[in-house]
Amino acid sequence: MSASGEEGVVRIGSGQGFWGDDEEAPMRQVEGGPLDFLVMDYLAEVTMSIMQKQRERDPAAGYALDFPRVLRRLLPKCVRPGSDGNTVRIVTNAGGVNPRACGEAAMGAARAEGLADAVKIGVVTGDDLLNRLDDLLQEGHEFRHTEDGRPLEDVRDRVTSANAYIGAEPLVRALAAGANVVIAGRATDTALTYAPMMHAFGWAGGDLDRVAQGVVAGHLNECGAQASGGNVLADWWSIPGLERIGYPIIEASSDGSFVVTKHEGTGGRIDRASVTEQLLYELGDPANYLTPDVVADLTDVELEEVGENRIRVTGARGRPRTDSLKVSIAYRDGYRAEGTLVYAWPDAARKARAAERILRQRLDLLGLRFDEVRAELVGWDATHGHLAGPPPPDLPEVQLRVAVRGQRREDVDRFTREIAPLVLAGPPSVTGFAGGRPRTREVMAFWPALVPRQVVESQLKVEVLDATDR
Amino acid sequence: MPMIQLVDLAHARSGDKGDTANIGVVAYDPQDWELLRRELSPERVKTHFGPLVEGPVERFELPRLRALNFLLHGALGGGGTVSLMTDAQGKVLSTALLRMELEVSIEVAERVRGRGRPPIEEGAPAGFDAAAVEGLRVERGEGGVLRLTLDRPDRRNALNAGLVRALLHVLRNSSEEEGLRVIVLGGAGPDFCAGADLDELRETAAAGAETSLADARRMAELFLALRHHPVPVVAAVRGRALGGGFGLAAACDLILAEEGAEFGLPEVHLGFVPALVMALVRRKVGEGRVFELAVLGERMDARAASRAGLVNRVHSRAEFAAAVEEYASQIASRPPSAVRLTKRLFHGLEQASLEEGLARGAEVNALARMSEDCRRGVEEFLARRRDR
Repeated sequence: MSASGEEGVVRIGSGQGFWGDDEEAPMRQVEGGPLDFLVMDYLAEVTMSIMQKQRERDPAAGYALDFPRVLRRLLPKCVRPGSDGNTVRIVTNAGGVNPRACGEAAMGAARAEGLADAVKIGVVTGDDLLNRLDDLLQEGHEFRHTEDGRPLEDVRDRVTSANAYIGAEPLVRALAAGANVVIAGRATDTALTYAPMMHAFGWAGGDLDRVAQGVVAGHLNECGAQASGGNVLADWWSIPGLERIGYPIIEASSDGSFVVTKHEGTGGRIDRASVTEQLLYELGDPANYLTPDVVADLTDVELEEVGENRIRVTGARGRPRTDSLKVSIAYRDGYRAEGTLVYAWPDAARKARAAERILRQRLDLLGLRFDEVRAELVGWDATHGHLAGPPPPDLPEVQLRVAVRGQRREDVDRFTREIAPLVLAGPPSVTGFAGGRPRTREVMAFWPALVPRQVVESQLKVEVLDATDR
Repeated sequence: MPMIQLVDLAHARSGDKGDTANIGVVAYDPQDWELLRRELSPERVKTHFGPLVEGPVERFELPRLRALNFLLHGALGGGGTVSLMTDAQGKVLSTALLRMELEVSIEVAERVRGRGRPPIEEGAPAGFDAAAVEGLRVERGEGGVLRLTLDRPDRRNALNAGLVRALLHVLRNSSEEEGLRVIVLGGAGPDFCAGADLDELRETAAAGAETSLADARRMAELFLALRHHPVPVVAAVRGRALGGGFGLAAACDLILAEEGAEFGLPEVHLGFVPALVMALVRRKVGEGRVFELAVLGERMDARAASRAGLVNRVHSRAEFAAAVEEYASQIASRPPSAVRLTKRLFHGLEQASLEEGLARGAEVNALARMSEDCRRGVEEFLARRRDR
């Protein structure tokens, strides 16, 4: 299947772990050695509601705006066969809440490089349920909160986005139609990696164990360099070359086994420790890793070091998929703001605590109402809470961070004006207010729910844009 | 049994799903997997986090990865953009779990200590890692000398929890440093160390038996860390070394004293018992003398301590600092592998019968013969004899 390297092996490289990740990483992946597919994950829960807001302001927006720019640099390397006669196909969820607009922008990038004739762009739509929400509610789908069971009706008027997590099937369809670039919306992070495997090896939905292995491969790819030496705790001080870290590459075989590796000459490290850490990242019950295509069981996943920076992964098992898909719904839930001040030795922590007390009293005197007021001493207890123990009197400095959240915008706005006065009217040895007044921001809360899969799947659409599209 | 922190036994990564955090914990060494599994029950993790985790804690096992996966429900202040926490997504919550203290066998403690932390950088400037060495001055001298100075002169260098932790931190971090030859431990100001910090002693007593025991154990751990450190540790004692301060000096391999120095166990005057230091002081001074010191709460001066075999050398005030320097550089100049093997064997003989002691000695003898230092030393000696 593969035009590159070892017989029967398909190479799927991770090029992006989130919207805002290193823009050079995808270039290093396509330039650094053989590759068949480049997958680029852009979506986190919060990203969808940001994109929805952007689309409200501009109907042509609502996707990862960086993607067309990065794609323009990538296309010449990916579309024209390299010295090894190989081309690279790109699979991404950069489409956000507007995959069609993203597809058109991608076509524009191809045109700008004079490659329009050589490029086919597959666009997957149908995961966005926002405009269908009222109809679906009417039909009796309640979208109950999966944790507390409340019906969506409770917050319906504040919903800003609603997207179903979709699986590999439409991505595979786009690849089968010959797309060089496949752009989806809320495709799951892992499907981006196993869709190319299903396409290349002709796996069907019934190949449960193989698809489950694909899910594990996707889990290792989805956070970019976090599998190849980035953010690794084990021996972090000895991991070389993080400034040119190689992102993970899955070398997949048709039996579902794969080796996770990275290009030669890149930094980072792929060993048992780094791969294990990423396997555990954001993991729930390892026996029930739910995806739209399979329920994967990771309990007996095994890692084997088969070479330098090469880990062979086996042992995932699959069970049939469930009848429903997860829906991620975002809704407005009040306002928040946070302000900081820095207190210096001696007795920095006591000064900061005194300032907190004064601030809380002032907020009370002003009659402001909040759902929560939280104070942390950054530099002492912000991340470990009481486990940090009492701060020593000799602590050189500490940052007081106070955050509030509430339903009334005017109260949160008033809070933002109460930080600065503490500089002249509070405890001494205080600085660090150069950033100015804190900003009030809207809180986007998430509402996880389930929906019968046919509700979404009946509407999934794959379009292929080519040079004839304008 | 000694205490270690989980950070030396396992690495971890954490993340979020809504208001639930997950923490994956992975044993560094396959042989510690069962220990990890036994010790890290969901109940224990829940207790460790206390108010930081509102809901239940679930645990899942991944035996082939020698890993545990914990789900901490209600740990992220609402999660996502609702949470006001700095660490709203639980990205570093795993490190809070790695603070957990575990009681383990001496074998495990010795093997894993320092595993989870970076070694001290070669040639790092004095005062490195300042946050961790509260009340302790750390300086590097020429030729592999590490100078540690208890630096709370206003409290006569009394040992509080912070100082004990700082000492432990530096001792552990330096234990794998290749260029290190000798450690000199002294005190800032007129006294070496007045023992436990009484303010803190009162606080921990008020906090209950468990806190008191944990505190006392840390002190015991410090004494052991000095004995088990691979290079010799020299105590440079000026002024008073009392109670825990006496113990601290006695836990060092060698003691140099300034004229006027005093060693004593005044605990009895407070209705307290020199319990932790007893095991160490008894090894350096004869039984009768130690019992007397403990029961009468008396002190002995530097000369008497020297006669009792506790102090190796006594120097006048004028020459003390220079003499300590000279002494340390002499030790540093000896072949390092021989010095390290000597220390290891010396303390290893503690519980050994004559037979065991000789068997262990034979092993070290063989090991030493094959070392680079020994080969060179013997060559040079033979060459000198030929030249004569």
